[in-house]
Amino acid sequence: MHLGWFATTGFGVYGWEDPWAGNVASDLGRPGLFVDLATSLERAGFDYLMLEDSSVLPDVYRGTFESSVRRGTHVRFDPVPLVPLLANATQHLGIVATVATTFYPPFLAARLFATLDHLSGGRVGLNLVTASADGAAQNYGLTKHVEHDRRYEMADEWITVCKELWSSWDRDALTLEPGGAFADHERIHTIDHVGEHYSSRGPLNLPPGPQGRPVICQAGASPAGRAFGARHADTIIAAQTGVDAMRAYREDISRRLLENGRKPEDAKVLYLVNPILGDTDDDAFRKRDRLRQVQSGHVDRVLAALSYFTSMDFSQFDVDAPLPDLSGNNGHQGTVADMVRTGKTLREIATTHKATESIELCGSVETVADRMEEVMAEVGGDGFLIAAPVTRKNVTEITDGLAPALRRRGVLRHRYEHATFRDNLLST
Amino acid sequence: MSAPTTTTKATGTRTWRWGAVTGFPAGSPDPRRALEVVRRVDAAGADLVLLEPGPDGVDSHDTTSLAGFTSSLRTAAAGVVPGGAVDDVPPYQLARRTASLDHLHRGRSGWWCTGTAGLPVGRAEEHAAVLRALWESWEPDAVVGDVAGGAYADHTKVHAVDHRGPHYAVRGPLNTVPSPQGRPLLVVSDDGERSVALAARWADVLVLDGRSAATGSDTRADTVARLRAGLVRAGRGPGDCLALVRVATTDPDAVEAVVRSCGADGFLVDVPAAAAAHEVEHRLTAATADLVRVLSARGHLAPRPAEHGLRRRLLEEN
Amino acid sequence: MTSSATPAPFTVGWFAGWGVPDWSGPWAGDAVQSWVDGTFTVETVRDLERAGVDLVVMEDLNYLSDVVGGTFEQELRTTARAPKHDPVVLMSRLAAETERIGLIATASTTFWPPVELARTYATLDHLTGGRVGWNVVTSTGDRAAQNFGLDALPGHATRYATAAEYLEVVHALWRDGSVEHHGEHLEVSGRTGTRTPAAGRPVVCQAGASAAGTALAGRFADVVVSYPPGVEAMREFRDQVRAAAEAAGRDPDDVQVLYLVTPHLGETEELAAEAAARYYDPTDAAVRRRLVQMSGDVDFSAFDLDAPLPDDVSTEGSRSILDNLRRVAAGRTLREFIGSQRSEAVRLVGTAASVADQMEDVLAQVGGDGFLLFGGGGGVLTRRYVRELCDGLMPELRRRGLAGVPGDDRPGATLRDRLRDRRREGVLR
Repeated sequence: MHLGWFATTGFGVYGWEDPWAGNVASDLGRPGLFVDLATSLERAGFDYLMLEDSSVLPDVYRGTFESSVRRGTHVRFDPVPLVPLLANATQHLGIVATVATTFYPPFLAARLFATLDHLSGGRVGLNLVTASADGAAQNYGLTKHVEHDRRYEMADEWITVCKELWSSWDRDALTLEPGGAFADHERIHTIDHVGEHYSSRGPLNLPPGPQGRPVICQAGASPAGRAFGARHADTIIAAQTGVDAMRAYREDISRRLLENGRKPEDAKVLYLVNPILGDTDDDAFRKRDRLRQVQSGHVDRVLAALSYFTSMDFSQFDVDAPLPDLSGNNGHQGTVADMVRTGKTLREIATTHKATESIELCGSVETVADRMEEVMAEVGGDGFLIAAPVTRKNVTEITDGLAPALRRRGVLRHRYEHATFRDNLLST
Repeated sequence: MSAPTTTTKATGTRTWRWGAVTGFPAGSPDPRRALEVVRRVDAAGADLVLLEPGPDGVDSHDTTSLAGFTSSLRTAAAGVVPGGAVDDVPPYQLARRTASLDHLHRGRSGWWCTGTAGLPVGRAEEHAAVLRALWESWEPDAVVGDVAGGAYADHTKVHAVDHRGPHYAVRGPLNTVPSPQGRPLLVVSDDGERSVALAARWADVLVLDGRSAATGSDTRADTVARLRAGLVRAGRGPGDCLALVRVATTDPDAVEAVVRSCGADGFLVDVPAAAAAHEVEHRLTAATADLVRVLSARGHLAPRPAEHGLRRRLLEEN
Repeated sequence: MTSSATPAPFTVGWFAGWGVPDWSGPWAGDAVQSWVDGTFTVETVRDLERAGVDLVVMEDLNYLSDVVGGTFEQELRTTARAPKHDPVVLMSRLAAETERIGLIATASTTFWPPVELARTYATLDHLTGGRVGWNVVTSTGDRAAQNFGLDALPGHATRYATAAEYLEVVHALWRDGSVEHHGEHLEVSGRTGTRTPAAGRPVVCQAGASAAGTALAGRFADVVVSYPPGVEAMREFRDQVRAAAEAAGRDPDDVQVLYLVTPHLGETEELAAEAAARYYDPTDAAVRRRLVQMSGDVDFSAFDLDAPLPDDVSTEGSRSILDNLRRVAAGRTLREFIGSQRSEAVRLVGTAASVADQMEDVLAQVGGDGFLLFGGGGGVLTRRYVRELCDGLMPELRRRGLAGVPGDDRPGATLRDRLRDRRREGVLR
């Protein structure tokens, strides 16, 4: 089983009102919390830490920044400078930073991540997003955001250019002969890409990193998103709810991989979960009940989140009426379509909304580990992506409670077998 | 005294082992200089650093604390071994603190007995025997971590020492887990025939003084020969205790001559930390750059793996 | 009694040994291995420092006991007291791994040669920039004595008389670098060979609660470790220590009495209460662990668990522990009172906010100086427990200006400076 940790609000603020997050002020913008997270994940045998990102402070909900900053939810430091600090504190863990293909010129991204690959000793990855918020587009000078499916076309060309750049030096181009040449110039090539959306001459002005190309991570449940993932991703973030949907998703991805001349095992599908752990099952249930109670008291928080994802002000809708048809929205199409289909009122959706759970995991570490093992056997998938808020207590419950329980079951690695993130992720 | 001989040199398949001896007199500007010395010689591929307590009359920091301090470096390979006198602390305390220190250094520490002169006959030997008994009072596989059975360690593999001798009475066992390398490294300084016999019976390294011409190469060669013979008499292999010669020079030719002339297994460069900063820097550079490069080119030094603790790194072939 | 309107800041420390944390529970993680090379403690102490904890006290023991049942079995099952590494060596590692927190390690006046002790702590004082302290113990258990060439431990009175001389000798060594002492119990002549400690002299901490221990604390201690059971006993004990300090001609405010506590925190009062109920549950394992902790020279496992403690048991090892025990037991059976008994002064259970209230309230009543957080009492020491304290309780105390408050972090401040500052802040408010 592969495990990743999805830092849901990137290099940002976690648990402003959480009883175990009392040091937010002293952690703000400092590497300490994330260094602790990374070292803990490595101790536990995780494949990677993924840092979400966005480029906008939203004011979609009610037209103000209040819901964005009230609990610090939308604060985002740039995750990329954090990557080498995390790499320096670890030896094996993969570190994935989010990159919006819409905003980064491909050459800039390819060069940046090739450099990070060197700095990290072959342990960096890119989580590709096509950035769904209008406000972010405006921050980069794009007046209106590009339409959903077209963004995926652009992303496809974008990553193709990056891959060509990462291959612009042959693997044996670096000769490093004492007294001879540093590199063989005949093994370095321009890429001369001229496409519909991007042009780049190449080559990169640095040799390829230990991984050749960094690991590509991607999320996206829509058909365009799936097609993209099947072509390019090494690991896919899945938010399908329920074992049947999870299995269907894995099968769909496997089919699409084969269609693209890849093998099903070439992309690891990890399912989002947010385990609630307790000393006993009962202890965990009570914690879950408390969290639900907190959530149901704050319908507006969920509506603000939905507003952000869809770029649509949910404060305009009657919370006690069923959600109207929103199929024209330009954001997370899969998510919204799922919600409309339920026929629930906005209040019902808000009080039960769980953006980050494929299956509910709640109980003692033994109970949850059993359930994870069982679900993976049914789904045929590759593992889970933990999306719990980054508080030190949550981290230690996962890394020093749940992970050892999985290891005792023989489903989690005891040690890292390979030198690079890519090899550790894809070799088994 | 028998003539020096070269025939007992039994370590022909080994490259030389090397390291540094440094001390931290109280007058030195900052005990943190220990970190710099250890870091530099480790980076140059050294096997060990010996921390020398102040010679009589010279004020010196506690070497064990300095050794613990340097464990924060997480060295690539070099061990750090504090020195002291036999009766600085009781043997139980010494055995325990060196075991703890060896864990902090992940199996790359030990204890350096800096001298036995002046002790009553038999005391140093009994001391070494007590240390060994305490270090081995837990069998290597005593820790089981059996969650289901609720046993951290198997108590049948932990044994009282019950030592009662003319100099020491120690019940044992140690109240801590066995050292990562079985037992911490034991280093003994050569200060006469008894110390050589002590090393032959108990030690992993014998330190010879090659710093001045006063003790000639013939004497050192004789000491090495007696060590090898003593090892065999004690039922050990002739290479089971290394002879390392301590040198004041960093000149490659001079170091090579000293090591070869007595048939030692390697050398220890003096890095007097009390000296002015620029002198320490100069010496470290001379030792870690020129000396290592030249002796490596001549085939005397070679990189070796660091995985299995200090003793194996020192004593294994190649 | 309620807390005053402007609360006085107090000292918060951490009490542990370099031993095995909880290695078999659900949150144990890699504790079986990670304590051994110091990783667990280094990470813990760095966490505590980050959270604003003032100091750590590392206790110690010098023997592996076979008092219980005549074998090492129970010791090595419960790991309540063993295995245990030398905490003084660990202090030198922590010196390099931390920047501000006070580092106090236990060493025995019965077994350490005084010159070597003075030298070692002077070196540690330099390595830590004046943050080191010595927790003075006189040791317990004949088994310990037998590791140091003695058949039996010297008697309680002799040990404490020796300790007083010992402290004089060590202070002289720290002050002058050499000593020539011919006393009733000690003959010491020698020099430390180190420089005078940066902090003048390392902080002295003392833990024995007997009358002799209190007198010793009054003369020499900056910090006293204690766990008198309940608020009444806490106040009484603190008054005794302060009176002893005054009797020794010292300002009683120069001695801080810190009380051992093991707070149980939860997101809600109910969750905390349930966690505490699990912790205090007198399970067989809890009883076994407790019996091992109690068995110095007396094998408590030999007594009938379901009968009261007999009156004719006495030991030279830990007189105060036995006396306390009889008092607390108050005629109850061993099982009844030890099963849920822990080494702590008061129980603290609740949300971070309510535990902070309780701490404030208790200190207002005892007039006291602070607490020592203790994760070892029932084998609850896990990374998770440390983080509940560091990221739940400590921020709450800091918000209230009670602990870990800024101003203590002046570069170059010694541990004694920090303790004094804390006191001054308390008085000024």
